[in-house]
Amino acid sequence: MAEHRYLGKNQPRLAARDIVTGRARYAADEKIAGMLWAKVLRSPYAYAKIIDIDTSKAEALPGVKAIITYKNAPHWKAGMIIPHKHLLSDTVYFIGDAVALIAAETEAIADEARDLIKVEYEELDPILSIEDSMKEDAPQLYPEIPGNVADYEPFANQGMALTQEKVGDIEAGFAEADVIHEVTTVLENAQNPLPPESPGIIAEWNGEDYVTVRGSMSSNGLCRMMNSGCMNLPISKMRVIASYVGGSYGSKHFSSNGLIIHYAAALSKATGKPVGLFYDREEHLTCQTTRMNSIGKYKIGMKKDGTITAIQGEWTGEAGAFNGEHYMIIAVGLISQGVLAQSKNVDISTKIVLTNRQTSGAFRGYGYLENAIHISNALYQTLEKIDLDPVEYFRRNRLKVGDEFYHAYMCSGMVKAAGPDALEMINKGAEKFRWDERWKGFGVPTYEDENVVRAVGVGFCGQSDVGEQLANENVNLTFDGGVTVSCVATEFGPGTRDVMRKIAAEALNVDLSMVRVTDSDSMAAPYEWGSTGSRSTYAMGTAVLKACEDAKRQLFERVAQIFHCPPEALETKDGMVSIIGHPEATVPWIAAIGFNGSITGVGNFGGEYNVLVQQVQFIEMELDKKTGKVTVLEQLCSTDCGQIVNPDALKGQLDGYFPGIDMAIREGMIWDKDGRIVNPNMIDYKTRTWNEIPKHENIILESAADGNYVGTKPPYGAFGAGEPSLAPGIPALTLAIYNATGKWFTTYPITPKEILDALREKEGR
Amino acid sequence: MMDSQKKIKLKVNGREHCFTIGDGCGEIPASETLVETIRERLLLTGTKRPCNEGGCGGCTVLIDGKPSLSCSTLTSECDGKQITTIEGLEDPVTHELHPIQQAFIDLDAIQCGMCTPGITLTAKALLDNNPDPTRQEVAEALAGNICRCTGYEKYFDGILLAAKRMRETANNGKGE
Repeated sequence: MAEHRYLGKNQPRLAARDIVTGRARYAADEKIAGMLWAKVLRSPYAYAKIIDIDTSKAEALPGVKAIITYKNAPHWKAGMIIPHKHLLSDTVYFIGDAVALIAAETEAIADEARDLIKVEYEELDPILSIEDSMKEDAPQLYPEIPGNVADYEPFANQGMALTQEKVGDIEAGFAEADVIHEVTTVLENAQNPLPPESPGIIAEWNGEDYVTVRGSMSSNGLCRMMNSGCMNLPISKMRVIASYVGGSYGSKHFSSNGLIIHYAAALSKATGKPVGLFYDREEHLTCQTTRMNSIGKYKIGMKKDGTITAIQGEWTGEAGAFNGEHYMIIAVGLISQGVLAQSKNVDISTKIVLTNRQTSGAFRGYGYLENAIHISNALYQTLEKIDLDPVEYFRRNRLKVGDEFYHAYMCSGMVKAAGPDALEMINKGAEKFRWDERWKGFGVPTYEDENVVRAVGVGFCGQSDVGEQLANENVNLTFDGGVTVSCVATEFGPGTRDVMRKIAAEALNVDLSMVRVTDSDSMAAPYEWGSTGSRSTYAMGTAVLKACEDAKRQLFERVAQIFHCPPEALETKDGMVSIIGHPEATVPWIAAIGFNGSITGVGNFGGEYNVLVQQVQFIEMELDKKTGKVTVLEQLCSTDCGQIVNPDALKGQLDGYFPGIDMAIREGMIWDKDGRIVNPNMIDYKTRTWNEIPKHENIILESAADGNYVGTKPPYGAFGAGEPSLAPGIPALTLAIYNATGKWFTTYPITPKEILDALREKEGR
Repeated sequence: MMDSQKKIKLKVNGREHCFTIGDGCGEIPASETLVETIRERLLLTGTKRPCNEGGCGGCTVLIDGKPSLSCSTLTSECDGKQITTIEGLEDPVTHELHPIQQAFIDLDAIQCGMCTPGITLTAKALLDNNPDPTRQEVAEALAGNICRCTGYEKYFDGILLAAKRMRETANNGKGE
């Protein structure tokens, strides 16, 4: 393995000092002269028509600068594929949908004005579940979406993304099977990503139809692409300047639901002033995005050795009150089939439906978490029938290098797995966890006494979008030996900006302190999506590396003229260029660049979809037989990131696994019968705290550090491994709970009462 | 003095600030929370206001050395109190960081950073009273400070490392 100057070694994060001293400026810390405060009046009904709206009293309040209702709103629409969600309309589609937008001189005046608006509604019968949305007599929510089922043909026709995969002969596959088993799993947690910071946006509309948006946006270019059109602007007329982002986990891509941006921008356009809109925690938890709910029905045909002869599925996702990027969530999610259940005969149909609930959208694990749960539940129950240890199954059925798997997203067809092979991560994880010793078979606990029962479980997941989408970065070498990486990477937690900085320092062999990364400002760096999915290290990192190579090539061409040598004979270190092996022939960069000069290297990357990020998790949990409470005792993550860039930062990404296991046993929005979320606060929505953390370990392999990939290799073999940490915990816990209770759960979160009922049933047998 | 009006003094990071509580011009309302005063009037935005309902600990400051939720504390009730915010931990002259801040940097304990100021101040109060806490004591003291990124592991390690360094410094001081 190559020895690196920076990669794989810990250095303080660029943002570290700002963060620990409180200097880091997040959206709500930004101040712009003349800024107005915005508030949103929201619907108390899940589905209703506005009969009358009276804003006169609110408008008369001193300090109120604009009130927008459907009567005077710009004709902007959000939603995909055909835009259908009006900025404001005379119909409201979920509890919390916007009815009026208010801008005022202070937050208190905006609040007061909101309370002075009188609205008369006519309630309509809402759709409050996936099943209800597909009923024949279900109300038709939008004329653009007949039957409340999203149409993805336009994408399929462009060969961009198919959500429906059909491979081989499904009937012949089932005919070969020794066992056939079907399981339906209902995921209706609508888990909230719950970043610590609620969304906040400051929009400033310039008279010539150009908008600058500041605030908590985690993916600069993606945010522009998904939101500029909603405001009838080309991407180039929307500037995004990201603040420090107080956590996103996908929710601040604003890729599916960027309404907060549109609201602030509309008010800014109306008032001619910068307008700040900062969601409070209740708005955050009821109006921004949740994880996509879905129902997955999977039928698996299996031979006695664990070979899957056929897999057939119907997977239906819930967009919520309007449809956004859900086709991509589904498309990425379909990769779970190749990773977990590869087969020659596959037929999975998918659907996205609309309801009158909060919209869903991007959340760490993006589709593949959801589909890993659906498929694992069917898979584990089928494995039980042939009594095959799931770890042994993963060893046998993992994607090996060169195996073909279906990739619906971008490629719309079969791609060849470029690795890494998951065998080592499975084996190392199993060995460390002592799986072979602790696994007693399906339905068998590892320990039981009169008070508690303990059991183990395992989960596996993966996706191959670590190299997704085009990437463009520039690198500028200044005459003093400094380096500026022009890149829209955002400071939102995982250390992405540090990855870009370290790759540049490594490639140009300069002191890390001489390298800086531009702010995440779309005017300061070339267009590209930014940090989304798991693409940063691979896609953006490759473009940074190529930009460095381009800059170095230009530098060496100039120095070659000084030394009258071929450029290939040169090397650079710490702002000096030498002939390799001749340290006496050394010049500083300034000799080639010239006083006041600079060199710009350009790097592009075209996207790769065959490198797999995979993770296996092992869990031991204990059930309290009197209360039904689940306590996770031990958890182990095993993964392979190719090459570690920031060791401590990567460890932190894996340490943050617990919102995954908590989707299985505690996290979720709770709706009343009218479609109102009743736990939109930090007291009733339970996330884990310091004294609830189980024993935890990580295994991080670097099997691909030397690179054995086809296509454009990841930079220095590194492709990151942080995102999947949430996904494998849910199937692992489902299996462990089965082993303890004898009941296969297929709805989530699994409550203590359900567990007590299962234990009673088991004892009654 | 009128019932609706009173003068209060707060000492924030060692500096005294005077306010008049009331409904008049230039006065601050009795309903104003400490986090609003700190952020909007004193412009110390290192104190975060993540949930604003006492559920996350992100707004924690020290009031007379005790960790307190500034979103759930009325400014009008802080008369005569010593308040420490995250900005008060760095040495204003040498710019030396508090050992907890330094340990968080050294171990890369932080991720998005929204919870970091609150965690730092709660941890400071813990270590000021208990220089050698167990992991369990750290967990109990910090249980009100929610983090969603890190899984808390490196925060634990950071606080325990800071405690160790602070004890070593204290012992060295005694030896001299």
